[in-house]
Amino acid sequence: MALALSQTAAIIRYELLMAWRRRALLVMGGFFLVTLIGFTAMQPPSQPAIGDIVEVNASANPPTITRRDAATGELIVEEATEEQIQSVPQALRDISLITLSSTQMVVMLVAIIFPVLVAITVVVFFAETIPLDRQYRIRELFNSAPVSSLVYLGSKLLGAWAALAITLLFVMIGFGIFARITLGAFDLTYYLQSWLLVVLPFSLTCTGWSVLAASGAGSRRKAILIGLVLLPGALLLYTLISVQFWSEVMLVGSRITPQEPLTLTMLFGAAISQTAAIQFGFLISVGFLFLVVWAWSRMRA
Amino acid sequence: MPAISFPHRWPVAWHMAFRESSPWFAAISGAALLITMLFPDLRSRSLELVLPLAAGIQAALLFSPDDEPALETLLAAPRPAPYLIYERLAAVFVIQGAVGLAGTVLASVMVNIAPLTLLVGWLPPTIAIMGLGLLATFVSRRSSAGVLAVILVTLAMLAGADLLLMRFPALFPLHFFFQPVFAQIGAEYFGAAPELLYAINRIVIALLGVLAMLRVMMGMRNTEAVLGANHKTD
Amino acid sequence: MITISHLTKTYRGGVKAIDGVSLEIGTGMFGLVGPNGAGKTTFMRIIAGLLKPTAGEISVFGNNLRAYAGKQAAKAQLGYLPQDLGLYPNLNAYEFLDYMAILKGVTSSADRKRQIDMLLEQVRLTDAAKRPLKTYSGGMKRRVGIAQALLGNPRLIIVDEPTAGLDPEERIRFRNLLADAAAGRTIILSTHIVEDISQSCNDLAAMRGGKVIYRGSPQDLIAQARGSVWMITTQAERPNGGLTIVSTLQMANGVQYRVLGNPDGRYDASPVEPSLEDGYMWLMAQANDQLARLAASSPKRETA
Ligand SMILES: Nc1ncnc2c1ncn2[C@@H]1O[C@H](COP(=O)(O)OP(=O)(O)OP(=O)(O)O)[C@@H](O)[C@H]1O
Ligand SMILES: [Mg+2]
Repeated sequence: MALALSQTAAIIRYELLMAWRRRALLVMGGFFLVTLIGFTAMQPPSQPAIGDIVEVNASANPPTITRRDAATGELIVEEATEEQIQSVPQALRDISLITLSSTQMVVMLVAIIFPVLVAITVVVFFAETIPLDRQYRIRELFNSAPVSSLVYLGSKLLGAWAALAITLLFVMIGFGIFARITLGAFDLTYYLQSWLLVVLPFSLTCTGWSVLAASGAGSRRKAILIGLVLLPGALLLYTLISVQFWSEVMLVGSRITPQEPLTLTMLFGAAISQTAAIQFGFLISVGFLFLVVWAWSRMRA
Repeated sequence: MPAISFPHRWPVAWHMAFRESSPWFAAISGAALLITMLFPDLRSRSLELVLPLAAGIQAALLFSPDDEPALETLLAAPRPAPYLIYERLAAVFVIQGAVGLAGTVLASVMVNIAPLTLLVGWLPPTIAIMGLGLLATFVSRRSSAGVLAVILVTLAMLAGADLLLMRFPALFPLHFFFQPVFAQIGAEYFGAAPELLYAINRIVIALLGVLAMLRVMMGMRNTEAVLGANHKTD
Repeated sequence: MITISHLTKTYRGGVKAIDGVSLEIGTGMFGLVGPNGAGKTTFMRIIAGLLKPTAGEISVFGNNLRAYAGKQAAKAQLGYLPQDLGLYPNLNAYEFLDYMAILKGVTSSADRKRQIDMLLEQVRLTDAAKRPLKTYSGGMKRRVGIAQALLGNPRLIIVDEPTAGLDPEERIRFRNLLADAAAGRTIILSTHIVEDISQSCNDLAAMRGGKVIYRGSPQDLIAQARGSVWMITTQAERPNGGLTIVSTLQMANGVQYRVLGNPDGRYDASPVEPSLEDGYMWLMAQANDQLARLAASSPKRETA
């Protein structure tokens, strides 16, 4: 048991080291970041406001408004007149239109557009994880060492997952900084949730499928072909998830009542948590595939 | 009498080239063509949707130095190394071209568009994306990068290039899936004949593909770099 | 102690690489020789637990290799150098050995460091240890493979053509390294350099066509060839008629041939003391004769 754990740790550690030295993570992370930034840059610039008001704080005593100064673009907080309060629809009172719009923007980009990119990339990219050992003719050494097929397969999968998670972490931080600078303040909770509950489990599932399904391939090229075969499956999974996300966001309109003004929680909370829930269901499919592949490799050993 | 040396014509290893480029790709792209033609909305564009992607992926898998088992032997052969690329590319052209021509005839009957119009629709992007896949694999030394480049660029062009043209119309020559309709719109903007705009676009993208292919063939001459003796990559 | 009984391996496609081999291998150096395609690598891979035998039983230190648990237990005491060695191009020698040591169960990092430093010293790679393996020469890679096989103090060491590609100095160094390690261990060594065996092994087997055609000490094999090795110096044509030429040397007074067989007084031949290589050649010539006789006696011979 202790041996199995130290073997697992070593395989993961060296898998990461080699991925780093192959520049694989750098290229993938850089590509993700550039694409996200490109998408953001392509969006038309928006300065959300109702008239010049960006936020009405009606429940404060006395009520205040934040408005954008037409000449300088600076934000000014001042006491609100009843007329100003009335000019903002009930549902949009008490929340900042700037935060609302930039949060909406980053959540859409991260949770809805970005996963399709991740799906295509990881399915093709991580397929070579195990076949590469065979192509480097290193499998013979692994097989002559007391490494069980469970440890080997499990560590390779965990290694790929670790590589992916680290890459996504850096993209998350990098894009977060970029978005904060260009779009303005956004709600960090929903930003983090979009990454951790939507993008991460989805990409873990796709990576797991790819690593496991291609584990029998003898060369990189065959692995890539297997990855391509998986691609429609990954895109289907993406469709299910984005449909789930959208339908939750669409339902928000029906939930707005005069008693309950629009909040970010209403807008994204349910969408993210529902999507996350079905996603963890999909992750189970990786576990199932793992068992199949493991049983198969045990049989051949 | 001095020996006169004629430029040597080297033989082409067609058998190997076809094996390397897996003809069953033809079956896949043929099947994909037929499936897309089942949808009336896609019918007129199905050739454009399927062939560049299929041929591009195939081109991306053609030659990655790190995955070529007999690389050193191949490079040491007296036949110039670019032949390797040339014969494999030709095999892909033959395979996908056959599917494409058959599809063109079929589609022109089904949607009643002149075969030449259809051909001009799919052939230039096919050349461009093949060049892209070949080059991306060659430069990165890994086919996965080439395949990804092909898929992502194709999708980006299909999904986003139209939008991009609305903001930056001058980029129209680079749109792989530029439609004659857009040429009509562009004609008003640029004050030029739509046929001219369309022709410029088709020629530019085909040229890009050819340039990428030539770049790879030239790159093959630098055997040291191809072998990876500069140790920049694995 | 390794016990092999009635071992047969038929590859998919029908090649019978091992054909009913029974052997017992004790401690010390055990040499394996035989022509290309004799089945040496197949045999060693089966003992290393990498290939499943088609039929027959193998036990390595009492572990039955047919059972998964037995195989894993045997692997825990194994050091293996494959004939076709692959390395991770982006790791350096130290990292690669560290990785392999952990996989082999050397869990203490101090222990690992000590072992790796010692082995790198022994294969003389200490200076190059921090360079990526892709920058190594062929022989240096081989030496990393050798060091890797010795990691973790294995009781059974299987090395498949370990000296191929090594310079003479390194080859001799490696031979001595193995001979030192052989005390209390079993080392199975296959090679085409017969001299390596005569210098280090006291037990050897010769394989041919998947069968063991000789098992015994190198001295006995040499003794069998005694009286069949001759030196002929002639200015006439090459000696022929049932003679196997082992070496040819152009001299001032003609061509000197070292031949195997019976010159029958047809040439001016002087007997010479056989080497192990002569013994090996003699053995193979015998096997050829036998095959030829078999072929002549049975008109419908099955092709192997
Ligand atoms: N994977 C395989 N599939 C089918 N046949 C194989 C396979 N590997 C080896 N063989 C065949 O098995 C026989 C024995 O091969 P093996 O590699 O064991 O020979 P060897 O004695 O190690 O030869 P060498 O001295 O050349 O290394 C050969 O006839 C070979 O063609
Ligand atoms: Mg061998």
